[in-house]
Amino acid sequence: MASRIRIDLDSPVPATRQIADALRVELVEGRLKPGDELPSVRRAAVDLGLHFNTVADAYRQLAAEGWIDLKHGRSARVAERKAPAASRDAVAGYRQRLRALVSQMRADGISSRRIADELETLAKGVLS
Amino acid sequence: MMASFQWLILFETLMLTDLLLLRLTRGRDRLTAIVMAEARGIRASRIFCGAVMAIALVGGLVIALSPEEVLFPWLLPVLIMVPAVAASLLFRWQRRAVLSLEAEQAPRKAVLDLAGEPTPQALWLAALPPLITAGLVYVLAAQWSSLVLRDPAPVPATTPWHDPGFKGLVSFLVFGVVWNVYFGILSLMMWYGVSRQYAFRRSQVQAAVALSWSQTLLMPAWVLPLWLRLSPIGLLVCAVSFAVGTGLLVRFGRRARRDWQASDMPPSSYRFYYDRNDPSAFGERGTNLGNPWNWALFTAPAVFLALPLWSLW
Repeated sequence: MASRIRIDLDSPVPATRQIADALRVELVEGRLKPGDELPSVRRAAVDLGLHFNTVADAYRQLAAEGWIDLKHGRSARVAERKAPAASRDAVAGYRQRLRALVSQMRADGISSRRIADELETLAKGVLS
Repeated sequence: MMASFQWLILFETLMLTDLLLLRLTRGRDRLTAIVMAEARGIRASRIFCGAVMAIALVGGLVIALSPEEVLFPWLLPVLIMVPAVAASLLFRWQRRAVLSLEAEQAPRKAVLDLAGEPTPQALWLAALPPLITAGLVYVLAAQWSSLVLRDPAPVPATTPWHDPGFKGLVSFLVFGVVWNVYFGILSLMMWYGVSRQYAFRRSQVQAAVALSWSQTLLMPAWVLPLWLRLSPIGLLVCAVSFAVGTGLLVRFGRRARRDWQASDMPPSSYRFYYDRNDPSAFGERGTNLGNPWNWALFTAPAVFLALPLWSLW
């Protein structure tokens, strides 16, 4: 485990969400494995220059999703997580979000070819 | 003389604190740093530093030469309050002045390394210096009657703790313990309270521990020969202690410089830099060691050390 996450402190996206999203990517892509220790909330807050509660909220969010195990007086650890069965509504919701994201990319001037390449790369990563 | 000496130590420490406060405020406060990049900010800072040093020098002489009844109830508090009020006014002026300036906006990115890191062994070494000094005080108390003082009391005390000579010597060592604890806390704060992205974090932790040890070695090597008539072996031990204490300072100073040179941090992140043409002593870029004028400020602690020594002799 030697990966890093990056946070944009000037982004309109709240820092809590950025931390949770970045850690989730590490978890889903397997760079963080069950049993791995995460930096303590205090350490992460100092390194990122954020308030303790901002990082704690992100950790709690991941704990609620079952990704990490939070126990008082101990560093957060990556938990064994069984993927829940996604409902049809959830899949439809994600499809809608993906379409919205692709539309946003096109609106920002990214070519259709480029978007397709990016999605293909992502799809290969998901299947590997 | 001894009471004046203790007030002198207190006074000079407070003066030094005023200068350090200015440094710390600028280091932590980005807006103040912007003001200090302006000519008027630099000028105000120089006037303030010069005034503090002048008060330290003149006030120190006054305390050293004045009898107790003149120092109290008004002279000492006034001397202590003047630079504190001046510092407060300077900070207020900086805050007001900054309103007319625009802060430059740099993109702010933060990185979190997910890898763990072991606690450095050096942190444990920070716990030893206070214990060593406490042990030295214990040994001195146990052996006090067999030690030869340079300036013995006319009437021998029943216990070392009632002997003015012993109390004077121990007050120095206790003063050293205070610094030991300070450096110990500083090393802990540097390790646990500073971002891991800060390139000098490890070297500053080691430097704090080294300073604690060097102080533990230098202080007895300095005060024991002043108070006691030591045997040649005792003097040799003090000389070795002094040499090792100084060597520690030099070694960790060099290591910090090496870290600085090897660092890939942007120039704005340096704590120290060398620029002869930059008039600021402390500013956005850090502490400028390249401007000769700044050395007047950096050598101020020598004044603070020299005055109490002069008073003692």
